[in-house]
Amino acid sequence: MAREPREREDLEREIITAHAMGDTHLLAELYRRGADLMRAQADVDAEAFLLTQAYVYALEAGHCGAAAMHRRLKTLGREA
Amino acid sequence: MGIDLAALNGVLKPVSQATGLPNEFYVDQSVHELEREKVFFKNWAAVGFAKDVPENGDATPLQFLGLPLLLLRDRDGIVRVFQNTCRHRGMILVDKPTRIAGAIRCPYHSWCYDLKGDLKSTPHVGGPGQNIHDDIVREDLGLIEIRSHIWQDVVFVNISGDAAPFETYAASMLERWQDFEQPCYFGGPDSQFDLKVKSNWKLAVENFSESYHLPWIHPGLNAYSKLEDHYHIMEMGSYSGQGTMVYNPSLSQEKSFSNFANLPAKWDKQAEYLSFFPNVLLGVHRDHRYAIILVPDSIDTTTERVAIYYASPDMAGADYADLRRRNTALWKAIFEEDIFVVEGMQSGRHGAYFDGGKFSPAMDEPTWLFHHWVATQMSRDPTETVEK
Ligand code: FES
Ligand SMILES: [Fe+2]
Repeated sequence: MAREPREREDLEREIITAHAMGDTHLLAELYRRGADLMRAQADVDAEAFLLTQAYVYALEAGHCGAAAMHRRLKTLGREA
Repeated sequence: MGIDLAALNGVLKPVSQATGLPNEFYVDQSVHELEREKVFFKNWAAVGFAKDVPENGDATPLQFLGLPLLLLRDRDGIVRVFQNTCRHRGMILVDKPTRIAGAIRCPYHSWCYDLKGDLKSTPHVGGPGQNIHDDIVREDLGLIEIRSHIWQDVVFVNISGDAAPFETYAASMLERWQDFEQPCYFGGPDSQFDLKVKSNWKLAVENFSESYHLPWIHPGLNAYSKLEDHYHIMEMGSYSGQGTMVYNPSLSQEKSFSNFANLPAKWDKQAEYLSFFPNVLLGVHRDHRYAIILVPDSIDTTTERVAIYYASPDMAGADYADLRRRNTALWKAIFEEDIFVVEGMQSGRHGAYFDGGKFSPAMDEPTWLFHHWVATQMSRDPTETVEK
């Protein structure tokens, strides 16, 4: 439990760096990691928010995980 | 200001009595704006080359008379033109040439479009983490696709959407050059260049259409291509230009480009140059062809985008790079010789007493024919065009 805020802070830092580099492929993966963290905490809204971010960058990057993210968002009732 | 209908009637007279387009067509912004609608948007105008987007996923933004366009090649290799404006808040979608790996993501709120223009994602549109909303119907919010047609690598658009199909619009030109209706191969980076001229786009058309100036402006060319070896090319309402009977390339003693396939014998020595209205200048020779797209950057500045094409992939390969470079240099030198005339004619049109000019019935008929076409486009709907 004590480890979690650290992990979140690290992830946020990595996300900011990836934004600065414009690395959309990496952004897709980092946001998905964020979504997974939120799922572990059963925070569905936060999970959906971060997963949306991940999905958009995955779409832009042509990331192979985009379809899976889309399915996951659909399951959450957040995508068409 | 605006268009003086009496002056347009002067343009519409037979060449022996006609005067040229009045000064306003070159210096009056309100005429330029009417021209935008009536000459460019209502017809098939050239906006770029397919070679500008060589690979699937390549996209490049274009400004066409102030209209932001996006030229791209989709995943199936189809070249498309879209309005480069997001359907959400109207942000410009792509601001520099880029290769799109996946989707077009709007840089503002990240709505995503695929390369067919379909809206694929609308993040947070129903609130944070909620990407759907009953009132956001994605099917209705795809990118606006502009009617386009690719011919010999030139990308034409009909902005108004109601011109005749390209094959009809261009029928007489296609028929004239049906011998050359075969694949052509872009020579690559050594076979293209841009020239920026301080002139209205029409003066570039006019200068390209006539051979009268050759002995004065291109004395070097004239040494082997004399004025009497040239003939006029005229097709009312479509194109005008000139041809030569003595095309004889001499770029190298050892090497020459191969010819386009199955050309009739007349093309051994003939070559033709025509202005296809409104804004593309074309040349065909047995061993290469070129297209010059006139981009009207403003009423008195034009970018001439030149691209040269050959008859086979070999001619576009490394073995012929040196010969291609020589050919490019030859054409560039010729087109550069024309710059001071089109710029000088632009300056000359600030002479308030210039009346549009007197045509030589013998030498200026192709120029007149272009003016006649412009005047016809501009007077199509008199109630709309005439303003005093
Ligand atoms: S303006 Fe494009 S997503 Fe908002
Ligand atoms: Fe010339």
